[in-house]
Amino acid sequence: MSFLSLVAKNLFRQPVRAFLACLGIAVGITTVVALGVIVEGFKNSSGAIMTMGEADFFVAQNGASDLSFSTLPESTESEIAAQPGVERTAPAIFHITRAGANPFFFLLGLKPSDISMSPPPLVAGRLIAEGAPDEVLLGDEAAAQLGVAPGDPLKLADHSFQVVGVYHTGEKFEDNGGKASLTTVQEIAAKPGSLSVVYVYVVPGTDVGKVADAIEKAVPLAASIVDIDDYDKVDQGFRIIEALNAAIIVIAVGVGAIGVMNTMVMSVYERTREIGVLRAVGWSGFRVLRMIVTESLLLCLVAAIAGTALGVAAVEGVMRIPAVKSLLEPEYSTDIFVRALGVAVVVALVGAAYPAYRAIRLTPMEALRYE
Amino acid sequence: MSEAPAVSVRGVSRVFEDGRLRALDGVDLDVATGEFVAIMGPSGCGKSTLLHLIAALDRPTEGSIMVGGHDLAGRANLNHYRARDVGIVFQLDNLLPTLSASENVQVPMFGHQRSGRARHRRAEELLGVVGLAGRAHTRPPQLSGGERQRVAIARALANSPALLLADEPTGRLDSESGMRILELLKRLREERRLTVVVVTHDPRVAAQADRIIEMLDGRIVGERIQAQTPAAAASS
Repeated sequence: MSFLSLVAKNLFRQPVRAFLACLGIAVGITTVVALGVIVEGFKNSSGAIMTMGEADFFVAQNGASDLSFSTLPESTESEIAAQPGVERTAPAIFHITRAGANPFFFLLGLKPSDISMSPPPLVAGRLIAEGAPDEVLLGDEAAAQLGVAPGDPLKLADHSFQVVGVYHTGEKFEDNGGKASLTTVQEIAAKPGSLSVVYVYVVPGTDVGKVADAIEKAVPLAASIVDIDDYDKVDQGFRIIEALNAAIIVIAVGVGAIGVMNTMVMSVYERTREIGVLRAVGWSGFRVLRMIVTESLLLCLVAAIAGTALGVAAVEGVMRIPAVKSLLEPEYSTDIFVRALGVAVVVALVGAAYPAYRAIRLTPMEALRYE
Repeated sequence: MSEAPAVSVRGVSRVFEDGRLRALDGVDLDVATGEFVAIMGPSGCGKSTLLHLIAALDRPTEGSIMVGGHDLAGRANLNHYRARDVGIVFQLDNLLPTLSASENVQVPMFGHQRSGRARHRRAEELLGVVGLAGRAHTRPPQLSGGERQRVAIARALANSPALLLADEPTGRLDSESGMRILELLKRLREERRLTVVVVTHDPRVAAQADRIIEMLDGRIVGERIQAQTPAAAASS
């Protein structure tokens, strides 16, 4: 018999109690995993916006509550273009509208000349022509979902377009959205003369960070988004989601630890005499402590595996909703699974602390006399 | 030169409840190597307390206990003493109910440089010694009282101690099972040159011992020698 099999037999002698404790922790871990995968996916989708059209970075309105609410005057573009190290700029406006079953259709307004300079990979049709305000390019998933192909008419936000091309970038956000002329999208969004962002292409060999910093200094309204970590300058929602994620982890740890502590306290109380016997046959207090902590770790490890599986299943379930599917690609990063395991370990250690302390404080005789 | 006693108790007292209860009061006792000693007396006379002190499950308030020539108070690692030098059998078998007989016997072997396989082999061997070779994988609730006590004896022998202590080992058994346990203890004493100290209030159990120690109110009040110890018999 190994030490681990002894621990497992102790743990599952009350299978219903162990199962319920496991379930309690697993639900917390499910939340941590599911929310983590979604947040990471959302970050990645946002990262795709950042590098759209192979730009080095973009500039948005500093302090905007959400990137879609970022508003810059058109004059900002020329101020940015005038900065040293900037090769060219591409002004853009975002508009989110319903398209078929997708309530989050992402319509990007760009100058047709800018689209031509960094064209999306076309799978059918052609790019938008200059001076053709009613032409639209669609991502392949949007085209498939709307059932349209190049040459077909399409009504978007009460504007009649003609689909002229279909592209595939591999980014959910783009492939479920579309691109149209800047002025047309400004009209649809009722924001004439306004931009959401300005994409910046730097002179090859120039330090992107320095150019970004220089733009922020020269244009007070501007926030340069070079990295995903800069995102919270222009999207408070990111901060809220991350704070929410942290809060859920804390709650999961707290609730889980109470559940584990309850289970372990009950288990240790019931086995007080047995612990006395273990001490009487030569087990050290440290070995008893190791047994209790290992029981707790094993319980939480099983919960972590179950919770992770449930979390992945929950994400896959959510991804079947068309609106969500169009918005993000789930990101199963190692970090999320490490975090789930970390939560399980912390819960196990916190939950085992008191029962282990109580068990090793008892002398063999006190434990043997326990009724 | 005569051999040092296996157990030497000198002036041992044990006081509980802030001095209001004196369970042992200046007890002196020597047990020779290989001797089978029965400690008798009515309930509350302190005989179990004395056994627990020799097993290092508790500490005396006064006095000293030497086992194998070493003072227990000076031993840095009493866990090691409890695991290797002494085996204890309780009135209630105190087996772990979720473990099989074999696994119960293996419990004291953890941490003593034995692999899982070696622990298993040793447990099977000891269960054979106590006559339970065919019950190794049976859990305690499926064993009779006598069988459970045999498993407890096998567990006490796990690390080959020189001293075996038994606290009312037949107290919960019918007379036939009780006598079998006593025969087993006597056989083990002879085969393994074990020193055996049994606490009992049953005269039939005590009658099997080489020497009977009588206790009353925390003191030794009498002694009856019934047989020569193996060492004395060998030298005479």
